Amino acid sequence: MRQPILLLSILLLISFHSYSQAPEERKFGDIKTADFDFPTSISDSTAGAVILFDKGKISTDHNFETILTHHVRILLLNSNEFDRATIKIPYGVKDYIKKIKGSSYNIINGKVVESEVSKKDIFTEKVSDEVRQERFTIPNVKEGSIIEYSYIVSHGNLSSLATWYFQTSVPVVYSEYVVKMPSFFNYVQLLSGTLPLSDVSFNTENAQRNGYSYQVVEKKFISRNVPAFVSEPFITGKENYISKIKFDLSDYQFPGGHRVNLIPPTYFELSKKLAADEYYKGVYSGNNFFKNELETIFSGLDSDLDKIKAIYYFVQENYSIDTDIMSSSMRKIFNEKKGWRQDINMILTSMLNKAGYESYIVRLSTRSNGPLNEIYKSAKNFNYSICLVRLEGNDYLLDASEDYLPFNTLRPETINGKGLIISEENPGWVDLKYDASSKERAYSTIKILETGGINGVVQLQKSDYSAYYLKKEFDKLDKYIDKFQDDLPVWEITDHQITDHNKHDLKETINFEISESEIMLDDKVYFSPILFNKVSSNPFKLDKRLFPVTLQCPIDNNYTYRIEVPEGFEVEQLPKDLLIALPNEGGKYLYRCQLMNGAIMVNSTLSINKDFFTVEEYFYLKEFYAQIVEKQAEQIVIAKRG
Amino acid sequence: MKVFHIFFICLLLSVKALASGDIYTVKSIPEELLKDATAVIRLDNGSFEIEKLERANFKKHMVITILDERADHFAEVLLGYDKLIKVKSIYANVYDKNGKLIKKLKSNDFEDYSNISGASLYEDSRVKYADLVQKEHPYTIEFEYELQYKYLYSVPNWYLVPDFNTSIQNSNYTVTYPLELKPRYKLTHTSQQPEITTNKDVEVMKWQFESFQAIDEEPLSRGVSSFTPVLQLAPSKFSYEGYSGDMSTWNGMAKWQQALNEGLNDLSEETKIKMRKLVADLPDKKSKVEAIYQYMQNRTRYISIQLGVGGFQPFSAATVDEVGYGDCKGLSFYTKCLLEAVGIEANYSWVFGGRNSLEVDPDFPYDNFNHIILHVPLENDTLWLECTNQKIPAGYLGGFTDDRYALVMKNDQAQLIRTPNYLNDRNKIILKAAINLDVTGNAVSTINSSFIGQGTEYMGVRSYPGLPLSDQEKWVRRYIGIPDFSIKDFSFDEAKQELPELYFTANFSIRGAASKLADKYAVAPTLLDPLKISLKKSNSRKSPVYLPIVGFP
Repeated sequence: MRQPILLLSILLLISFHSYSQAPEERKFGDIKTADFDFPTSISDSTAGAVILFDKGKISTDHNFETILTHHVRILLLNSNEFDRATIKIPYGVKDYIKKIKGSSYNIINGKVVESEVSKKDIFTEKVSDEVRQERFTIPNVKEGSIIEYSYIVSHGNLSSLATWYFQTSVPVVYSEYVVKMPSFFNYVQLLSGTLPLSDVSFNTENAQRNGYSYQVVEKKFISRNVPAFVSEPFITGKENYISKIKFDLSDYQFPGGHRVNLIPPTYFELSKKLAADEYYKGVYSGNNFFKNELETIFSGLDSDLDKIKAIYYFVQENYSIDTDIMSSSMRKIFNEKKGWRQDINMILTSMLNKAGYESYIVRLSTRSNGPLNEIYKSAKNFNYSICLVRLEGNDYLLDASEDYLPFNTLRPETINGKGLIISEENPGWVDLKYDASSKERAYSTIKILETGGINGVVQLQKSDYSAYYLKKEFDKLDKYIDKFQDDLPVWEITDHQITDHNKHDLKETINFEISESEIMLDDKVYFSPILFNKVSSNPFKLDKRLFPVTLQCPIDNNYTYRIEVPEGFEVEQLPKDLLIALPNEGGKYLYRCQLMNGAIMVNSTLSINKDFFTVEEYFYLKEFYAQIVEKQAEQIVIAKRG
Repeated sequence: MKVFHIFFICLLLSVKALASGDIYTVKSIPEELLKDATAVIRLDNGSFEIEKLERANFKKHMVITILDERADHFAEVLLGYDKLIKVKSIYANVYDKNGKLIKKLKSNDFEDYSNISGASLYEDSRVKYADLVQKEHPYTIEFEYELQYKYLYSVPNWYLVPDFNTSIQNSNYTVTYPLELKPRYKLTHTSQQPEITTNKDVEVMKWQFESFQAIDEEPLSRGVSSFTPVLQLAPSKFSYEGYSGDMSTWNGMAKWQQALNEGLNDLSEETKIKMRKLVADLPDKKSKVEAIYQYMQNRTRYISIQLGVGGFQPFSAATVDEVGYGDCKGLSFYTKCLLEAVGIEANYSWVFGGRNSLEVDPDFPYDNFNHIILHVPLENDTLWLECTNQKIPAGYLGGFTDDRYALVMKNDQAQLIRTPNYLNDRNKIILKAAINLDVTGNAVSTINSSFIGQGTEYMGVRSYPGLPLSDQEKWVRRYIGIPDFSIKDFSFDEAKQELPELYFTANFSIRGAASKLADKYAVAPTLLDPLKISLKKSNSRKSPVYLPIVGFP
């Protein structure tokens, strides 16, 4: 009689075991009614979908090609997330994709009912000559459905494995990434984002192929209960803040062979190694096809600095960005006058070298690519090139890929720590920093007329980033003039002149009138002395902040107004002075409004000295701008003497 | 004398070549065509040749001088084709301002990729693409292509003016056809009749336009072809993938669609019984329609697949029933079948969704539609059903298909019926705000907004109830839109009825709502008024003003 009880308890154990199996361990199609409940571990109950699990595995097939095995299960709660049921998987024309499965599950009369994608409903799109894409949609998707799909696809190659995102735009209960590679290959893993991993494990096993035995290393990375990634304004790009893991091949060693290190011990070694490459050699030796161009560019110029500037503006004005071009042949880029940004700067460097100036390519990591990794000195950490010219002990950093960017000024996107000078003899670092800010100077003379109206003249000068952003936004400056008027509907602009001075400063003169009907009431004139370019709304709106703030560039604005009050009027109220500052010398705002010799003198000076503010500093920044908005809205009251 | 004769002809030819020759240099552009122009169409030659019912060719040759970067989009040459439209030839050239050839592209130099639109799961449409944009302006581009159509369903319309700020030097359109396949045409914003020549059984229609000055772009305009010459053309007899018909009457189109839909009502008996049960206890026809519409909405979603004749032919009803998705044709046809299962008649209707610069003309039948809806006659009323939206109430069409002709098809009979408009009380936003100011000028405020009818489409509000909180908050920030405020709480509520209503309530505090002026406070009473439009002064308005009912700012 004892035996059946034992059997029963074993059976119980088994069934208990299978029941307790975590959802992410269950096979395709193994869905329980409890899976349809909103997961208790997810805090955002308003989420439109929850990824129940997302499992990816990179391994090698029989040809040592890397393949991705992907299996996802999603609980769809809101129809706005139904796009997740339409799946597109791209792959190379020489690669393969197999074992595509897709299903939806719905509870009908208390039972889980599965609807499968049928083979005939999977379409293959010939995206281009090189790329194919499988497209399918999962049937019978409703609010409350679970969907699931899996496939195996060739993905990446040995030196560049797929990057895995633990975080998505909806919450994820369980995210798992497995990298299972022969031990010949050694990878460094780079984890980024603000969330820690829940679990990491390594495992080694033996494998055999064609009589060889070797080891396979399996690394598993798990993240649980990952909240949705919600982007915030003023960040360097979501790639820096989203939780993900990236792999980089650092070295490899085949049986009987030497270990080959791909990542040099220092960045200077890397610089030397790169400089020895044919490509850079070509850049540094200068090309003969520049010769005629250079003669034309230099005609009439004497000083070296003028000549360097002329080359810079020549490249800037003649080359345009085209990221469809796959070739980096200098001849082709030169002829087509189109290329990637870095290629354009290659042309610039090469032309400068040909002209006899000491110039180098500087490799850097842009803001959206993240801070430069100090531990692994991989060439892949860099994603951008600019040009360094050395003349009489001065360094000039140039980026000719961007229209309207002033000489020796960098795009804020590329101002990120330091850049590596690529050179066999002189490798080194350059600091990437602001030599300029968004600078504006304005002087306005405003006459209050006896009728109560206003006549005014504004002299406005925009320099550095301010001029650059304006020209970038308005290819044609007359569009800017239209916009300026549109933004100030009460102004009657009688004249608006704007000139581009030395490709660096924009100088404007604006004559305007404001009718008394706009500002006068019961013999009193009311207006804010900050008549234009007012900070009218706080750019920092949100009450919560997760990520630090990155601004485009420092700001240096100084606006002065002289308001003449005619006989027969008296000043009844002036806004009070204000001086506020941000902590850590982040910036300050000064507002002064005083009556001097019958005229009101107003000065409004805003300076922001840095571009990076911590989460704690965010709230100071928000308050700082709130006070500026408030102050600039304040009005002067001038009464007609009765 | 013969020698002289030939010489004379040669001379004549070379004179002619010279006359039409210089369309490649900038200096040969007549002065009046430069005013307000960012591009000049030097030559736009189109010819459509109908060979027979299953074959037509379209040739186009364009030369365009691009004066500045605002017109660079003309230099991105894009040519669409699919399994039924073959690209027989294509080339392109680029010239500098002096007419010197600087770039030459042969057919192989064009990129070729698939062109499945964002809303679609699959189509076989592809494009040939070349980017001819130059950094140095002005420059001139030229391209010529020939397409072969394996069907005759439409004749390309001719739009004289492709865009604002574009002048036209020469534009010619010829249509060649065997007499029995003579297409019909309709002139819009022009009275220019074609020149017709006949050669045996083949006839040629030709339009020629010259020297058309650029029109400066104006705000709130409905687009340049809403007031410039357009030639609309259409075949009478037509054929598409073996389905032929006659388009010269609206009934002819109904007959054609009827043939396409033949045999597709294959709903299972089980589903039919389910429908009968669903409506068995409902009091009237309208509530039955509503119940079935809601049933359809709950079990389907919009997925578009366009393949060959599938561009006109719906999925069968059983297919939609099985997979739970379809496009406008599939979902409308499915709903029609569900309604028929309970004895309610519903009519499959062609309509144009979105903005159409060419309105449907009852006297000029042709396929000027792009969408399908259902028309359900009630006792004294009509219910229109938009079957691709799974959220809206039965009977509501909204701005996508309101106030226009729909071609309502009942078996082999068709009738143009106007869809409902959303004017006055059917398009309303009511905002009530209480603002309590304190002595510092700050305020706390409560607002109650009602969005009625098409008002529910204002700033896309109708899609926000039910979205994650963080998305809703973004909407609230845009809607309240004052310089500095913080939200305490907010909520959405809705009434799903034929004319939908949506309610929004929020509590928030405003910083600097009033500014202190000596002995007064100044408050902008329009603080919360969302509709701020300012129109620029204009002394020479050319295009009619078009006010979109919703959707701005």
